[in-house]
Amino acid sequence: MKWGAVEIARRSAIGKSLIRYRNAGELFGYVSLMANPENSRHQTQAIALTASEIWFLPEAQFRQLMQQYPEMEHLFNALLAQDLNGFSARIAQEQRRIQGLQSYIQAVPIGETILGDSKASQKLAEQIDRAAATLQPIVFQAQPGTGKTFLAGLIHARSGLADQPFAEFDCAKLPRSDDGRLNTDALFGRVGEQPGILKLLERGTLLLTNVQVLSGSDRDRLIHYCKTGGILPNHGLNGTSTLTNEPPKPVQSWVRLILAAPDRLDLPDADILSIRLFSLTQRKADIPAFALYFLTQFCQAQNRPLLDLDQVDLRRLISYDYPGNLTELAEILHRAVIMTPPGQTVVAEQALWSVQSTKNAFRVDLLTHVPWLRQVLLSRWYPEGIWIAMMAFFVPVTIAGFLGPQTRESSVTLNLFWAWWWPGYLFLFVFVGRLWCAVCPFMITAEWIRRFSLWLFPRQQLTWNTQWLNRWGAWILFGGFVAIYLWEKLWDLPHHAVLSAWLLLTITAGAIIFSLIYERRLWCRYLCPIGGMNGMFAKLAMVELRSTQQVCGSQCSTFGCYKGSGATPVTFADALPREGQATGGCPLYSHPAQLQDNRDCVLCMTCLKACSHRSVQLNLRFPTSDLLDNHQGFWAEAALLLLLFGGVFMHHADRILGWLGFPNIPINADHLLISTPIALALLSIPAVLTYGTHAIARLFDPKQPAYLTVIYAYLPFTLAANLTHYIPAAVTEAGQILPVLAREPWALAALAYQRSPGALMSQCSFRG
Amino acid sequence: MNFRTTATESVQTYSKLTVTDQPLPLIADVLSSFAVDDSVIEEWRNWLSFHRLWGQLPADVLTAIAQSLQCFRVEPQTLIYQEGQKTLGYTC
Repeated sequence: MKWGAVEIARRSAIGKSLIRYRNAGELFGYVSLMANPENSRHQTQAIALTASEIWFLPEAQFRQLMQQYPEMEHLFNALLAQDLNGFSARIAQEQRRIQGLQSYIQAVPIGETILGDSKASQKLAEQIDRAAATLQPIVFQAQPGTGKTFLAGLIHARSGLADQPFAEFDCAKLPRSDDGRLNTDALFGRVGEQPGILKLLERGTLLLTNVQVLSGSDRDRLIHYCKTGGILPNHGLNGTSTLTNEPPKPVQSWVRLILAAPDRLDLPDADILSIRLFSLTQRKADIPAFALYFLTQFCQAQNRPLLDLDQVDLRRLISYDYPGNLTELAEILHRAVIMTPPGQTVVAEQALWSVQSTKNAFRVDLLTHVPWLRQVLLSRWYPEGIWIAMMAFFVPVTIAGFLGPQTRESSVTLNLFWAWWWPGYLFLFVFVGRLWCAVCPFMITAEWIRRFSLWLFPRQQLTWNTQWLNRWGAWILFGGFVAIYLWEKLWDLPHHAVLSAWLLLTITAGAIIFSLIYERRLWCRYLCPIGGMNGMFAKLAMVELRSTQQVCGSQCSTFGCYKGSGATPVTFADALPREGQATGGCPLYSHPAQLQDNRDCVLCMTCLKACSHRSVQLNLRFPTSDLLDNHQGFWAEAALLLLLFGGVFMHHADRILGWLGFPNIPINADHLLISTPIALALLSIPAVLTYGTHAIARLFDPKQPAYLTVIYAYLPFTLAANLTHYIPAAVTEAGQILPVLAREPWALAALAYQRSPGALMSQCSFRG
Repeated sequence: MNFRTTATESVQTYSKLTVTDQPLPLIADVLSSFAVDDSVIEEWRNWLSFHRLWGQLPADVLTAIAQSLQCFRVEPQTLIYQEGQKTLGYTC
């Protein structure tokens, strides 16, 4: 070589090992020619490090000259002897190096890419590409298990150092001396004793994890290395200083450093590329891709066909929080592959037993465990098929209230209202929550009239003033319920069919008016007194409809369950034909993933029908779970609760007034001036008692929770008290429905017609 | 930046780019087809005569070597030859 510099290297167990450098005036490439004259091949590789001029002597001419001029052979023999010494020293050094590096060398991911197509993944891929294009030091801000080793390896594999070794060194594993200081010999080396990993590696990429455990001075040494390439090894013998106190001479190496710590590293004055690795919780959308990758790896390792994950498995995987990030996901799937018996093609949900969202604790998804229930709830008969049956009851019963007998013993309206409907549906709250609202005849009437009016006069309905309604809606509803209670008590609704029918009609009118003006079911969510009570008591239910927040957030882009959308293609394997239906969105404008309690869910299953990711769950749970899990109450609802509790006191006004020594005070519509304040006072009894009790309790224990929290403890008691009041009517009167029906005029007329000669004649001719 | 600093050795010793070119043996075919001027051979012979190793050889040997030499220049990161490659120097 006339001028320039060339590197002679060869492949080794740890990547590429440098044999030596050749500079201007030196010879190279002759060793193989001399070693094997017959079929010589290069045992090393030569790469120009700088622009170089090379004088090249072809093999044929070389051999010819060697034969012709034996002096040349002497010269080359002398050269080989020199090389032999150098090579021996180098091989010994290389062996020590490989031995020292063995536990740190990591496999380099070849042909791998960054999985997932979330925004986080796309950003990460860009950052990795940018990092691979330079040889700048890198800092990973990464929690444990976020894939540091893989990503560092990927950067290494795509960088100009790809043929050099890639190693990982965990600073947290450095030993500590008796005084608690870290012994960093393994990292920086110690003069005269041992080389550190930086020197051993010579060239390549080194991932240093848990850098945060290093002291400030050790980090300064790393910064110095990043800036100069010079290693500052530890002084002299371990634990003692050198006699001369001379600073150790820097050792030069050319290793690219990738520093990793869980939190942000403060490395002043260092030109470092910083990459923040997202936790798996921040990359929920990528979990299916990661899961498939790990399953493929583990199934291959176990030599079994690839296992599938169904939607329930995926929902479980996505809803979990993964404190251990990707490492934990890999462990979970590894265990699941081992646990899944041979012959099964899908990972059983039970195999993912450790993956449980805290929101799903102590809950069983009925849609998963009772598969036919999903089919029923997805069918077009639910709930609109039930609407027809409901209206077939509601319309004649309401008309009968106006036209039929008015006494409790002979009115079907009063019997069905006060002995069947009201006690029955109070009883069902604990089991099915607010299900009544999905088939409520007031709403059905309003919905049908709205559809008809929109067909007749197509128009854009008004949107909701949600802010105002959230603030005042529940108070208006509370006012409505006070009015109903006074009406019921003072005008004795349970014993006047026409008044009971008017109550039904009044609520229906409210639903119709608001359905004609506003979109969706504003009345049902904010203003219906019955709906308000239903929403409150539904918190006690043992079922809940929820969706997996993480699935909705990471997988869904249409939000059809909330906004409404056309039919959405469903891509998972075991999808039912009616999943991903076109819907108008939740009639109550609730998103199932955002539901904190049952208050704003009527179990209409619109979200179940719209969901194309099987995110919706119908959970069986402990009754009152809503009150136990971070319940957020509000004053208007607390007031309604106390009102409903007070209703029981009001219904027993005669007894209470008798106890108080006023047995003759009339509570009816004929004495409104005296009856109204007394009724209101009776309605207020629970509020006064509970508030007084709480105030006294706080005097003794100031740490008592706030009244708004405590008052919800009375919710089950309120339901129980109302049931106690209404159930006797159900027990004593519900069984009388057939005799009551028979006393209705139209029934009597039908009976009379059946017994008439004309009817008998027609029956005979039919039979004949 | 740890890679851009001056090393204790006289040259930068790390690979920055993936090596793609390989002048030998391909380039040798091209080089062998060019006739080299006598003055150039004389210049090469002179250079060899001052070399610490080649300078030990007699003048006629140096002349013969200079006549057999082929000269080429390479850019940094050029793979001159690789492991396992035949040493022939020419395409076969």
